[in-house]
Amino acid sequence: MIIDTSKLAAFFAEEPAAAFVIEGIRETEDSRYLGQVGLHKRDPVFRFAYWMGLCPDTHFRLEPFSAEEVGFDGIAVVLHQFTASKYQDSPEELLAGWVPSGMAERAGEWVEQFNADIRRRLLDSGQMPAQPSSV
Amino acid sequence: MLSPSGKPAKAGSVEEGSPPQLELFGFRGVREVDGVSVKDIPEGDPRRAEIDKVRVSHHLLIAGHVGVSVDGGSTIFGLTPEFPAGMPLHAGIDALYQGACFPGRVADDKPIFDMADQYHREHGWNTNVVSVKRPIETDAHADLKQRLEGMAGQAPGAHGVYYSFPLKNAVDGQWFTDKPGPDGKMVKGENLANCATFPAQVGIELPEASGNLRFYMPALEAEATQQAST
Repeated sequence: MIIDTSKLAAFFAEEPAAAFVIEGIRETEDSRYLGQVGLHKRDPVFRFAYWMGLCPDTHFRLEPFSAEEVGFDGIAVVLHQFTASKYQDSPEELLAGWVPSGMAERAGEWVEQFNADIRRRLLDSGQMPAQPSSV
Repeated sequence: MLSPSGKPAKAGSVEEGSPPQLELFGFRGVREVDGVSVKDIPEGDPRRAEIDKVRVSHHLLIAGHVGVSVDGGSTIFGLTPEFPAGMPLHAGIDALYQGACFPGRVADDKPIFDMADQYHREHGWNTNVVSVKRPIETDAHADLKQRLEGMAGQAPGAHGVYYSFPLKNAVDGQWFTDKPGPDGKMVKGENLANCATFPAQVGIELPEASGNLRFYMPALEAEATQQAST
């Protein structure tokens, strides 16, 4: 399921939006959390209540939304789990949380950090080929 | 440490020089809101909608969870399944309900307990966290701590414990029976556990053997009540 503005509108129509605001990166012994999504500090897995293996195309992305579309302005932080897999031939995405529009730059930095960490986990585990070094 | 729920994780209560602690923590899956049974809350009621929303995203709030702490509750080790790369969450949960097993991951599940506590306090869910203390000798405490941290440091399956839901009814006294793992290899029942029976895998006596939280949690609560009265 792709998380777009219509999905966000439906979600926040029933859910207290304040509960899903991301205020910063949080840590436990083993994981770093961006909203509801925890990325393991060592292994190529993430958790969204339960653990799931990272795919080569797993990444966080931002989905801006407006008051007209959703009822208030903000930017959703979405984990794109995969585009297609052997278990499902359509994309799967999970809502990590959202930030107010004024925090766009901050959210972009978090997403960049987490995406770099995801790439590192995949590289370290051999699930993503290293880029050839330039000569 | 902050939990994903946005609440500060509670500081551990172990003071320097105090005796070593072993605690079991548990909460029930949501079945009541403000004392009203979920099945009696009408469709369309916001309270019902809220529960439906977390049915997949925070399934442990629906299922309940149990964990072990050896540091006064700062870290609560729990066992949860790890679904293979590319498996959507809803498919993994469906597979568990159909009897599948997956490699178990031991991790610090403190944020999940914080979230259960938060829903209890702020939304009236019956997900209050119950804890009981167990006596433990210093050497045994050190061994257990090392073992839990060791399991948490291993890849799922490397420690040999797989995650599955227990049977609804025991077969020959066993709540977990041999079944194929995701790679098709058979996993022995003795190596299967859910969160509630995981403590037995590290030598902790269970308050109740089945691991079914509808039986397990009353036993844990009874132990907690008895402890509070002594």
